[in-house]
Amino acid sequence: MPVGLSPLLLRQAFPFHIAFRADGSIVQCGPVIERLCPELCVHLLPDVFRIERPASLPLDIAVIRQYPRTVFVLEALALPLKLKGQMLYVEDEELMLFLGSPWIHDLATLGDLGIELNDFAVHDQVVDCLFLIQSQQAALSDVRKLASQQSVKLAQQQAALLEVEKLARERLEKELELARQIQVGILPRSLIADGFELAATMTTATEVGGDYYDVLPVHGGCWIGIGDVSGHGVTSGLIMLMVQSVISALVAMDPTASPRDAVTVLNRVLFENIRHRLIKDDFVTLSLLRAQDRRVVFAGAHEHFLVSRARTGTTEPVATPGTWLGVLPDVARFTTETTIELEPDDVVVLYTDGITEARNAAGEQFGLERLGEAVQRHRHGKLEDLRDGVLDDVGRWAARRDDDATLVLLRRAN
Amino acid sequence: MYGLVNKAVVDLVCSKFGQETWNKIKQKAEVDIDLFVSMDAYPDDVTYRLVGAASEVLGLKPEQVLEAFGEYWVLYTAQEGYGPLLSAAGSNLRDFLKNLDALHARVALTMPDLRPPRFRLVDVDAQTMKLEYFSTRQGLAPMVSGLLKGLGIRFSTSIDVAHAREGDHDEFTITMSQATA
Repeated sequence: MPVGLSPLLLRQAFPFHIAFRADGSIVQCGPVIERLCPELCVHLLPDVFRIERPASLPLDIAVIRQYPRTVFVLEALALPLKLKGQMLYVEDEELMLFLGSPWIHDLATLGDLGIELNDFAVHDQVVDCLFLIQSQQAALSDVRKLASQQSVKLAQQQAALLEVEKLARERLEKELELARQIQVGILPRSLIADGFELAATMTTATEVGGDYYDVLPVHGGCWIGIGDVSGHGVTSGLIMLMVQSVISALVAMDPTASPRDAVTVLNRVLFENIRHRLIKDDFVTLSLLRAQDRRVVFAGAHEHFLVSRARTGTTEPVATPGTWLGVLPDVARFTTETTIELEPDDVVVLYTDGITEARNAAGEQFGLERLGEAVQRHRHGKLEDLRDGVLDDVGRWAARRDDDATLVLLRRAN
Repeated sequence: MYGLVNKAVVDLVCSKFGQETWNKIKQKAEVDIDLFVSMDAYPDDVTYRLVGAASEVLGLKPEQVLEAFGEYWVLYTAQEGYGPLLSAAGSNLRDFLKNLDALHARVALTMPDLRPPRFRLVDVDAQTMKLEYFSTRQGLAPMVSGLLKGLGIRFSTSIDVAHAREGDHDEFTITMSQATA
């Protein structure tokens, strides 16, 4: 015998079912519907529910019968309850049977409606859907937490990186400052020599730098060294110290030594110390001059220097042939010695490229010619005034100083 | 064991003892996870190591750790993970416990990697129930005790829990006192 469901079993199997007649009266409904919509006992179905889907369908059995195998969603008018299911027409009883269960997408609705999981038929998959919805939300919540943790970690890493960079920068600045202290610390304190007037200045630029000069008074005159150490930082400072120490030791041993010999010996020391001991690639340019009585004897390559002649009122450049120091084990064959004669009031102008290569706003260099003109303009008066005058001119030409700038002036007294 | 369970260890330790203590336990357990993915399955080994490490670091017996953690799980972590579903699972202790097996069964259907325990609730009398607990895992009975105590608190029901090992399963006798909120 074919099996049907007794009303009791129907209530158990479909706790949300609704059976109604053409006039809208309710024949029976599931126990949970009874509990949630008690007014169904006394009212007609269209007073309590409307059809949400298919849209705009009236709760009319004749119309509904035209939609077999269709998903129906009934919406309660007085509560946030939606029921999803299907409509079955029971021919012999002339009634429409709605079989469905609550359609929940927001789990909070369960609480709002006072529905418990036990209210659903055990076979109803809606409960499993609810668990799936919940796991989906839990997964989303985890992802959000993870994403926010990642952001925090990333921010912390970036902060740590910035801190590391900052420390590195500070260390570098400290090292450069130390180098500068060495560089400035070894400068001569007094500029006095027999038969000559002296004036000098050095301005340092921390980032680049490497200028060096010295004045060593001897009987009848003085030695002057002027040059540039490559690189910057403590190594560069140490090399300057070496240059100053070697030269002053050689001059102390023999004040009338040949500058060529001194340069050659210095090179050997630098070569050994820089290449073999410090194991660096740095090098030095240096011109070494010995000014005694009327002569200036010099060796070692650096910038051309200028001689401003009192008698002719002209300034002539003098080349300083030679090679870098500290690179080759022996530079004797590249190092020549030159002698020039000075007349009273002649001025020798020694400088580093921080002076001649100072650029103006248009990028033009101050240059040797302009330096010569500046010397001519300011040569009358004290040597300090000449120094300051030239510096002013360079300062007006180039507002920005990217490099060390050194000027050493020597005037033969009358 | 799925992530939501392991989450309770992290949450419990962090909230009661602080991040530093959690870091110590994490290190000791050799578990390098800070955020357990709730719905993901982790090797059981992870849970056991965490409990062992927590027991050492906190100076508690592993059973005590498990019980604290079971209670915490019900009251906080499960609430966070399941929220409204948990409330819909029963409005009093008895109804909830009756549903416990079905809840686990449904969760198992949607997450095939899980091996949830099985439960059976037997009414003894108006005040007493017996919960039978069948698990493929060893040694987690204290956690169930904690869970039950947590549920008592959740449903404002004062209970006593007595545990006994019966053959292949554990039995928890739950006695409710007269006065309930």
